[in-house]
Amino acid sequence: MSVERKMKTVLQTSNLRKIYGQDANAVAALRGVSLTVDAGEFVAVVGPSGCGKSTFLHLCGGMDRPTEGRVMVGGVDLNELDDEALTRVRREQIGFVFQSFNLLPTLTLVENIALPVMLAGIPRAIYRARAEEGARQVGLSHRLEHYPSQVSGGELQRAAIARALVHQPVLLIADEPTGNLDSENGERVLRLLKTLTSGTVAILLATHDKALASAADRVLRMRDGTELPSPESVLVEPPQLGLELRE
Amino acid sequence: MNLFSKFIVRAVFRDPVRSVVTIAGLTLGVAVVVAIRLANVSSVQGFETALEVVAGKTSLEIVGAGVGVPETQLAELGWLRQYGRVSPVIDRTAQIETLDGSVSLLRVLGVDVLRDQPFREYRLLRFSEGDQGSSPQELLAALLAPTSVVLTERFASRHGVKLESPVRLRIGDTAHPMVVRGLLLDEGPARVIDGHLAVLDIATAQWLFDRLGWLDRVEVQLFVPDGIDIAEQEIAARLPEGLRIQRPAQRGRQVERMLAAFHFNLTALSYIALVVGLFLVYNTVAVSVISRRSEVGVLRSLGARRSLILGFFLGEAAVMAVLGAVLGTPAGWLLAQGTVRLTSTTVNTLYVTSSATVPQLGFEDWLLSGLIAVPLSLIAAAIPAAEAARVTPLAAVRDADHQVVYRDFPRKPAAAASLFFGLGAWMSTLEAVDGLPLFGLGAALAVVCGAAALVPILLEFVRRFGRETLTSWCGVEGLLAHANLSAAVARLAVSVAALVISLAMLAAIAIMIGSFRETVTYWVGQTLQADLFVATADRAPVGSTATISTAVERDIRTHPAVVAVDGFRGFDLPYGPEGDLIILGAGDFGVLLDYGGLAFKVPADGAAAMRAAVGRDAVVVSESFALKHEVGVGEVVSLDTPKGPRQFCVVAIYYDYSSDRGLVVMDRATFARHFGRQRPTGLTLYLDPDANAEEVRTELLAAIGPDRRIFIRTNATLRAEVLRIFDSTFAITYALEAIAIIVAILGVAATLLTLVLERRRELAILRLVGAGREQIRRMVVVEAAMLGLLSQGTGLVVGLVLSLILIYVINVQSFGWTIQFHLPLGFLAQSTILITVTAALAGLYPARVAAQIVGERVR
Ligand SMILES: Nc1ncnc2c1ncn2[C@@H]1O[C@H](COP(=O)(O)OP(=O)(O)OP(=O)(O)O)[C@@H](O)[C@H]1O
Ligand SMILES: [Mg+2]
Repeated sequence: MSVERKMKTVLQTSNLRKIYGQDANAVAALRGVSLTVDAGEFVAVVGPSGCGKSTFLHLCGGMDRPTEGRVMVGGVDLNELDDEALTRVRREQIGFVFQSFNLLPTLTLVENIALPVMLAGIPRAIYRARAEEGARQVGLSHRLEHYPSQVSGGELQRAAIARALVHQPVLLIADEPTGNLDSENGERVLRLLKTLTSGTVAILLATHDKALASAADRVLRMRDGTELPSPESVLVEPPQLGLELRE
Repeated sequence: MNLFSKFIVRAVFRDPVRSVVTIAGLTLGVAVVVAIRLANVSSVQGFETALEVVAGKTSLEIVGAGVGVPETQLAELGWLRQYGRVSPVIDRTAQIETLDGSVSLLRVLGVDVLRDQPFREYRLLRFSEGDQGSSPQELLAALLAPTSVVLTERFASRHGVKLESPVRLRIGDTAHPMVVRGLLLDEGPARVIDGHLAVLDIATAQWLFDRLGWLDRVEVQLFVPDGIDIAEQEIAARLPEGLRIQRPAQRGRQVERMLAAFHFNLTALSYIALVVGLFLVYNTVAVSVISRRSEVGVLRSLGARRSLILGFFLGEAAVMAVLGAVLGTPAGWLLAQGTVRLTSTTVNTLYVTSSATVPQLGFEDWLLSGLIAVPLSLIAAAIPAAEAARVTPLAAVRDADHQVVYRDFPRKPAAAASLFFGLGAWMSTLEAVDGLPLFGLGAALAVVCGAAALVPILLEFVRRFGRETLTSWCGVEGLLAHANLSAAVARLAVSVAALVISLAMLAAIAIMIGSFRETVTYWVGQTLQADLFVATADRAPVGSTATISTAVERDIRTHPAVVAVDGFRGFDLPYGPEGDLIILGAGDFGVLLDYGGLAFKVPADGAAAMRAAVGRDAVVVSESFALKHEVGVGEVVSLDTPKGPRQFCVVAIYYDYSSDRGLVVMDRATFARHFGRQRPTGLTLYLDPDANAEEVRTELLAAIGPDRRIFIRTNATLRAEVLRIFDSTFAITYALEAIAIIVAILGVAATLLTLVLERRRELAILRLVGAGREQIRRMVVVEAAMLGLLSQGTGLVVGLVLSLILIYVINVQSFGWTIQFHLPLGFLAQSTILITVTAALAGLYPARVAAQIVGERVR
């Protein structure tokens, strides 16, 4: 919205490294990735399977801790937070959307959507209203009391998006949100993401989907755990990635 | 086999907590069953061994009616020598004080050594160092002096007793100084009752035990042992009125019959823990089937036959059962040590004095444990295993994971529940079988099964209607807990059922005991009217025979504050075709009517009926006697007297909770007419209303002097004593029940843990969207507490029904008591809180595990 807000840095990573396992089994999933995302910015992360996209997103979202390097969310260094504080950061500042929709099968859609605000201890009347509003925005008003097993994949992902935004985060982390959807539903999800965030929420999105990536303000291209230099806002398709990127 | 070890054995290790809990549960279950069986066996065996010891090579014995064989009749029995050797015997128990200050209970045998020699193997005696073996003459010489006693070497070495050591034999109210004149070698009879045997000359024994002119029995060792049947018949035909012939083993059988109901109920109770253990087996196998559905699918698609799958899961149950049996048998033996201590108080107080020791474990004990644990476990596992065998290869490809099944109303359980409850209602109306409440227990079992079938219905109910409530009680954690439980209804049903059952049993037993206690308290208040009670032992079976000496009685009667004295005499008498041991009592009806307060069941004016009975051949009987032997007021009972069977008219039935064997009480004068004058075994004193009972007691004790061993209790202490005995009788019940509940709560904790581990992914999602560790922990604890509360709520209702069966069917059939129903509300409220808290605590471990889950990969 405003210029100041737009200029504010939401996410900043510097020289992020992640090594899984130890000794002989050690896998270097990330080998130094630095990225700055400003408020309202839409950054797509692309690269071949196994290049470390998910790992990068997990670190940015405070789901896992880096082996080396720093992640700053809203000016706070995640390394310095204990589990409780990190939980609060996730609950208040970050929203998550995944390829498999990750709704709790035991809760209804509206309960699933309300979960982040419920966990924050907001009174029932308020979270209920917010969740219903969120459901309306993603077109699920008629599915509020259904369980995840009773609705379609596209609907599930829309519920997941509503859940990711219900607490008005500054950063939305999306890992292949359209990976399990057909193209029509994929497009719908993209539209929703763009309209619902409408420049106020920064999006960090990993994808194999060319269309999705091309909608981003900026693209981070990765390979073997490192970033490839790339021209701003342009997706250059390296020939060897052709297979993965077609979908 | 290789596949089995890969598929099942590895799975057992993959979820070690659940496996350990199940095996622990089975172990405890088997242990409790073994313990109670050993304890029961040992209390009967304690008596039977003692019996064997003193019976020796006796083939037949002649006994009198209740009071024994008059010595004068021995002369008329000269013809018995045609059949074999004859030996008169005094057979009693006494306490012995040794120099080391200890007091022990001994079996005391008074024998005519010369005649008794062939009967018992105490040839091997040692009179002095280096002297091996001895003749009967020597033994006789040793026993000749009236202060002589022969003890066993084992007992002597334990208590530092030597030849010529002084000891004191406490018999009745008197302690007699004696000298040890011989030691029986540690073998033969001396050995079996752990050395607790003393031998006296028969004349000394008669004198010490106040049995002058009486014999306890006359033993016969036949010349032709094979002719026992004919001999028994011939002798029976020739015996004078009032004497009976029987085989020694019959006494053991009588005791066994007497204890049968008590033991039967304990045994039934002991199986509860095992049943709960079996629920754990069912649960474990069921969970193992559910969590490996797709693995089973893969195996099936790769060509594994149904029978193989079935075998796998049955094998898992069998492995656990064998482990449970192997661990449970020795654990049961250990437990039996404690059990014997708990039950021997009851047995000794209410039935017979016997020193019970737990028998060593034999091969058959292990075998029996295996035979109980393995088939029952297989049955428990059969249902889920069969389900596993029905898994189609499709399950491998279809993602059965995380599929929440929302089912219709559980019709099958509902049908089963109503069937069981109907069966229970029907069985509770059926009569006892041979004095044992088989159908009563059947009814209880049916109700328990019905309750188990009810659990899925209740869980479904909670699933449908509980979310709002739980959310408003516990916030978001409540909502999540409800959601989690709802998804796992099928899985939880079994462990919750196990908990419900043990809690229902606890509630039922608490209500039953509470009611019983209330009834007894009321009865004691009604009946115990006397101010002081005089007895010779601090605690003894009801029919104890130690008498109060004339000197003591005189001292008491002459005290100015004593207004009236009722001398009570009671002893065991075989009654009816089975020779059940009842208690025949004699009291002073006049005193009892003027001062006492019997509570009559029938007729309404029992006192008038009792007054009319004085001077006639009439008796009042206890409720349990009337119920067990089906005798009503106005009917006639036939009792053996020294002059042969005599008819007595029953004039009233009164409430009595002192013994379930049944009491028949007659006026002193009537008693003396039939059984001869006998010294009383207890005195009941009524004091001047102005006198202070406590002071009179002190004065009486001072007057009697410190040399007499006499116990005088005030009304208040006796009442307290009655309730103390009551409570110790039921201590074992609570102990057994506590074990069952521990097992059940472990089961719930294990199930929760399994659910947590299976839900790793969902927990990770929760953490991702902002759930803190604390919230996750609270959620699991809320789940546990909710299960506890739900189980306790159901348990209370089912327990109420069970308690009605216990009170009005099982108790009446096995003991013949009227128990007034009474709800121990305080206890039930306390236990509800306790159970909920305990369940919540049991949830702490799974909660901790759940809270640790973070780094799970979420895609
Ligand atoms: N928990 C783990 N332990 C060990 N190695 C891991 C773990 N998670 C990921 N890896 C490895 O780290 C590398 C990066 O994985 P990551 O999931 O980040 O790739 P990705 O780019 O998201 O791939 P895809 O496009 O297939 O989702 C891979 O080689 C992967 O095998
Ligand atoms: Mg990925």
